[in-house]
Amino acid sequence: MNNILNLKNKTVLVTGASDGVGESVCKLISNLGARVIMVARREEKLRDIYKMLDGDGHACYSFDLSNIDEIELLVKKIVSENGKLDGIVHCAGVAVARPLRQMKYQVIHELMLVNFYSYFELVRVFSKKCNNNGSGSIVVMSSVSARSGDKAQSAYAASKAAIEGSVNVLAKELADKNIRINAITAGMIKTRMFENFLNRYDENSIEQLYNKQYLGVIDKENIAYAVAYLLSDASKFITGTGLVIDGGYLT
Amino acid sequence: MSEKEKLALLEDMFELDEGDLSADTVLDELDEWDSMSKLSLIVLMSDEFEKKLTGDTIMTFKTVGDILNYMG
Ligand SMILES: NC(=O)c1ccc[n+]([C@@H]2O[C@H](COP(=O)([O-])OP(=O)(O)OC[C@H]3O[C@@H](n4cnc5c(N)ncnc54)[C@H](OP(=O)(O)O)[C@@H]3O)[C@@H](O)[C@H]2O)c1
Repeated sequence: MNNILNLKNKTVLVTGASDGVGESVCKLISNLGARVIMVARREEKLRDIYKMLDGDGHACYSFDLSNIDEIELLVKKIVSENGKLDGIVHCAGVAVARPLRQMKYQVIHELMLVNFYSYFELVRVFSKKCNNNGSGSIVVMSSVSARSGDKAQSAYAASKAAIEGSVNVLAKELADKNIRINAITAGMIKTRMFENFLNRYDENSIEQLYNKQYLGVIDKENIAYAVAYLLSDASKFITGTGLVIDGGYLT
Repeated sequence: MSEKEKLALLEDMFELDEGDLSADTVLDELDEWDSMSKLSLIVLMSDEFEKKLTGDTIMTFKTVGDILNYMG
């Protein structure tokens, strides 16, 4: 039987490829036949993961996504060296925990650069005819915080709500170009970001969080499965939505 | 930074009046010592003292004096 999640001959750009969810996505989609273009800042980590990928034709680019003005040049370089793209997965992201009284515009701005502006710029550039193969799928990591964030997460929650708000509009704008776009609205996932998050809380608060996500903390591979599905033609009728994978958090 | 200035930072963080805190103040006896103020303390340490405070270290703080010592 044909594998319905086949990604053969698809070239997919993954941001945040050096860690966490992005790393898992790269490994899984390479196994499903995709050529993976990895983007993150830490070059050594990218190289280590690159060596673990299945198949060939993959590439890594060390790049700081907060340099929004240079994203178009980066994508041009990627396309000239690897051919046009079929998909983008935006896993690069940062989290900030700051109560309102200590919030600073600069902190919000730096977070928005990576979480939202870089994603938006990547989508804009990808949607140009010269950069895609006449169709495509975009997947972007959102969070349950977009819908029900906890105290001190206002900036992070806003960045994710911005993503979800844009996804359903862009889906309509991109439909004529045969490009689908979806977010994954994730609950807590076992990654470095999550460990850093736990470091800031005492046992009581952590216990409360665990109670909310009653199916447990999500393994990053389980997010990668959904990303592969959204990239594949198996999901060709899904666009403009936030797929909730939250271990029960929002219910 | 003098001890007085450090205390003022903490009083501001807890939204208390000047003179409400002293080194002997027991944290668990303060209504304001909740999970949000612990997060605020992490941010304060990072912004003002470039120190990376963790939840585990916070659990070792018993009095305001322990926080002042940590500030260095
Ligand atoms: N973990 C969770 O509980 C959770 C829950 C819901 C949603 N999410 C979302 O899922 C996504 C992935 O998170 P994760 O848990 O896998 O986090 P992670 O392990 O901390 O990985 C974050 C990735 O983003 C990259 N990155 C950060 N800043 C960057 C920059 N300026 N330029 C380029 N790359 C940058 C990092 O690479 P370098 O450091 O090498 O640049 C790293 O590869 C994020 O959007 C996050 O908000 C996570």
